[in-house]
Amino acid sequence: MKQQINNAIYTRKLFLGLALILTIVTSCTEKKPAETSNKLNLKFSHKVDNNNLIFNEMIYTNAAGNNYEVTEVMYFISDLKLHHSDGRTIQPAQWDDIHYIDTNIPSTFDWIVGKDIPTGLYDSLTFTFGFSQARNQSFMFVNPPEVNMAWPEVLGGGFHYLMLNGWWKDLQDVRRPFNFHLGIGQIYANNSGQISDITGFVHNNFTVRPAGEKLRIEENKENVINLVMHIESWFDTPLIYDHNIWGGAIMQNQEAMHMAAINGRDIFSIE
Amino acid sequence: MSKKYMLKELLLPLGLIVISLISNAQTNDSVFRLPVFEVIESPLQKNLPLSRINASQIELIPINDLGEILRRESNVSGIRKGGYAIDPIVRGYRYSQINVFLDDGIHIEGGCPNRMDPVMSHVEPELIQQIEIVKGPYLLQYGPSPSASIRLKTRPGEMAFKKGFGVKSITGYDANRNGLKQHLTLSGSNERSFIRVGGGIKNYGNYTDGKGREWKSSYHKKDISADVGYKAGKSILTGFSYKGSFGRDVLFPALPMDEIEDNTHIFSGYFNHSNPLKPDQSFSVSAYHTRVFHLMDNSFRPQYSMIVPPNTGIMQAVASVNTSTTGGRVAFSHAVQKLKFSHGADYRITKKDGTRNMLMIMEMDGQTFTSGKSFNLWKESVINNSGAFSGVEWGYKRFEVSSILRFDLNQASSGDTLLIEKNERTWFESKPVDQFLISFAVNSSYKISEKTSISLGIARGQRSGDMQERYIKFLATGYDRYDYLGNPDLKPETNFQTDLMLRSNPGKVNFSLNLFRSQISDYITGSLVPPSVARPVSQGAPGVKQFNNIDKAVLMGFEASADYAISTNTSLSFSAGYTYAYFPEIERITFENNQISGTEMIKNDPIPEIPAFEAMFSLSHHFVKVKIKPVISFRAVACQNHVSLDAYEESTPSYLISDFFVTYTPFRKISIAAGANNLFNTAYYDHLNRRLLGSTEKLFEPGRTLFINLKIDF
Repeated sequence: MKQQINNAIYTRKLFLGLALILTIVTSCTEKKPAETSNKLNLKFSHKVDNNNLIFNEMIYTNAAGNNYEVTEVMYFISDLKLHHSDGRTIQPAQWDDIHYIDTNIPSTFDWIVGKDIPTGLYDSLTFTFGFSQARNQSFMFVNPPEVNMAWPEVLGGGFHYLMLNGWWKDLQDVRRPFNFHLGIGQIYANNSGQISDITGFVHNNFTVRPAGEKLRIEENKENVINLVMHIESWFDTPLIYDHNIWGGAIMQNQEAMHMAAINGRDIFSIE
Repeated sequence: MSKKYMLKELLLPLGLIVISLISNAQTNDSVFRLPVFEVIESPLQKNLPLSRINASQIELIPINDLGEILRRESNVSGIRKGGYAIDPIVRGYRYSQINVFLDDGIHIEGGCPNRMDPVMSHVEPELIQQIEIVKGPYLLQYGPSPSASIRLKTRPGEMAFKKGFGVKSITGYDANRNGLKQHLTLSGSNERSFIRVGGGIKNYGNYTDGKGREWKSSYHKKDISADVGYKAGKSILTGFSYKGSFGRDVLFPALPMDEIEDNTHIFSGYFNHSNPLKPDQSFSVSAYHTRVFHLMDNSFRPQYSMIVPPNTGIMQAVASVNTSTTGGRVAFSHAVQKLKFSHGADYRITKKDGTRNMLMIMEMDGQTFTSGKSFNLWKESVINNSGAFSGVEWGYKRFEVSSILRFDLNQASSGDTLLIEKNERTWFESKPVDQFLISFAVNSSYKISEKTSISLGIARGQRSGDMQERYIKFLATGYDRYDYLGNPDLKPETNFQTDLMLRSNPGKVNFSLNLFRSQISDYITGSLVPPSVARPVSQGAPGVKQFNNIDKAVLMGFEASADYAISTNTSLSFSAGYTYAYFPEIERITFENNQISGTEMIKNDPIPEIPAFEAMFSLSHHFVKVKIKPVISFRAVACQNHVSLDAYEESTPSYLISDFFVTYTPFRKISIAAGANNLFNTAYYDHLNRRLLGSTEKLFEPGRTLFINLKIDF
């Protein structure tokens, strides 16, 4: 009998201890909300002749007179800099300084480049189209969609700066695909175009300063800058690019990619 | 010349053993039998938060690896990534917070950065004599023990000298996996020496969960082992041991790669001197060398040989790692009146080197292009740890106390040339680092009555960052799929722990309760690195995390158990355990539009991967006349809603499973066990199970597993 009473006391003490533990366990996680002051969001859009880009319809004509249509546009920009009117250069994209834009993935049209951007008036912004030589490393992206932009190692490695894919009608009015791709170019001995004859590489990245008015960053607000890519500009200003001359694939044609790099400097505007 | 000398040194003791085995000149009476091989073991161990698993508990149940058997212990869980190699979690402590070692401190450095091969996976369950789990930084005699220790005792016991010629065979069949295992041990001995050789093979297929879904979890293992021991005189014992474990095609559906090859070699030797007339006096020396070669790739995955959308190319990845650990230990004990002293020193050097090769095969403009790159995972990384300890025990009437103090010098270096600098901050630069660690433990016990005792343990355990935490480069090593980057500048992690234990045996009931609280300062965990500093290299990794010290982490909880002998042949047992763990403050990354938008500070955020509350119940009855013993057990695990916001951890539902088996022992030397694990074929997963690669779905546990095991021991 005495033993049973003792057992009961032990059991009671056990449950008391467990209850104490459960009481301790009831504390909650507290959250301090994120600050969103002076946020900067770059919004990308794509136009042809100042109208929104319409995909998969042969409704465009470039300066060379090629009728063409666009199926998709993918590209990287990096090293964004804001040029403050007081002379400072601000690099807002401290967290992620490379951004990928893909017309198949609308979420890539917004790039939240940072918060706590100094307020005031900015003369301009600049960025690298593609990557600088130092940044363009093979295998730096391993997940889709970025990994699908890989540029073959044998052709210079790293990643495509641009994939602009579509169709054009050739001189025989035959609808043919074009892969207007930009990346590291190759120099071939005797212009052979053979991989075994590659003697050097050319980095075709370039700096873009989009045309537009001065920018204002205001305090405690999401500041949005609309960046528009003018697709037709890849094929003119200053050089006329003719698909019938360069063909559908230009990855191994440095001359064609050089033209694209020159034309690309004015493809963006701020609206 | 020196090679010849070494050969002689090796052959001499082997020769002695062989001569001793074949000669009968030595009579039994002339040899004094050593009491036990264990020389340094505190009598106060019974007052530690310690649990033991004996060989007899392992041999007849259908376990694939030692991690599975550990999960049956209260407040011990494990991370499942495939069909094999469960990584143990003790009270929420994990990885290098747990000092896992064999015998007198034999350490193994696993090769896989994804922890496909945690330490225990290198030792086959059939070689185990006993497992000791110490839930706290109390066992300091065998290396720094920051938060818990798991000791795998593999050396043959005293019985090894008594048997003459012996054969032990363990055979098992697992119907769920269509898996067959066979382990055979042959031994020969006389009173002075013994030799034991063994080997085993396991071929297991994929398992099926409770929903009938098959998981790619097959594996193949082989092992061989040899042990020799020789007694010289009345008090000297010398032994040598070799264990080899070889894994092939071990599949891990929750990891980006599978283990293609894993070769482990463990060499060890020991010398014990004890005075049978003065059991408090002893001297022991031991040394070991372990090597691991680990090769993994994604050749069992579809993306290795075909284009899997949304990829537009084929991705092939291969990683190989070589590790070695060499160490030694010397220890002695003596008594001065009522004070029992033990002292010792140990040393170990761990080396690791590994590379990863990636191939991308792309089709562009009608041509096939192959791009490849090789990365270092570790580059000639070395960690030296030299330690010394000193302990004393004292008892007076109902009161007993033991204390131990341990110092370690931890020296780390790496041949890495990687330098990551950004915005005037150095993120990764490998420089030699020396760290001095201080650990201590005090355990006291007071007998309230003949049947009840209360114990208090207070300890400080310290550890330096391990190979992974210091030097890994861009591999998904955690549960969250991020690539991890080591940090050579990590500060040591320090655990302050208190355990309060109550044990009572009022009549037929054995009852114990253990409350604990642990506060870890400079807790080592990963924090996100800006993509502008480092980008992931592993497929599927959303970003890179670097190991850093978090100011503070708190873990507390309890374990309780009760065993009740209903009658001489019927027993009932119950156990439960729970850990509540949180970071008082931690920075969390916030996302907006799938992009990182900033950070926020969170208070009292749960530590990720903490097991849920669980309770176990088992009932057994021994039908003596028919030599049959059925056992039924239930394991109930609560839902885990106390999940980390910082790690975006998801909650896990509760589950209840039941195992049933019957052992039949027709003769003393033959035992048969048959039954079913997960009797009701419940479809479930544990909170610690990793997610299936490329999805948010967790890896499910095996469904009903019918098994039959046969043990023959002559």
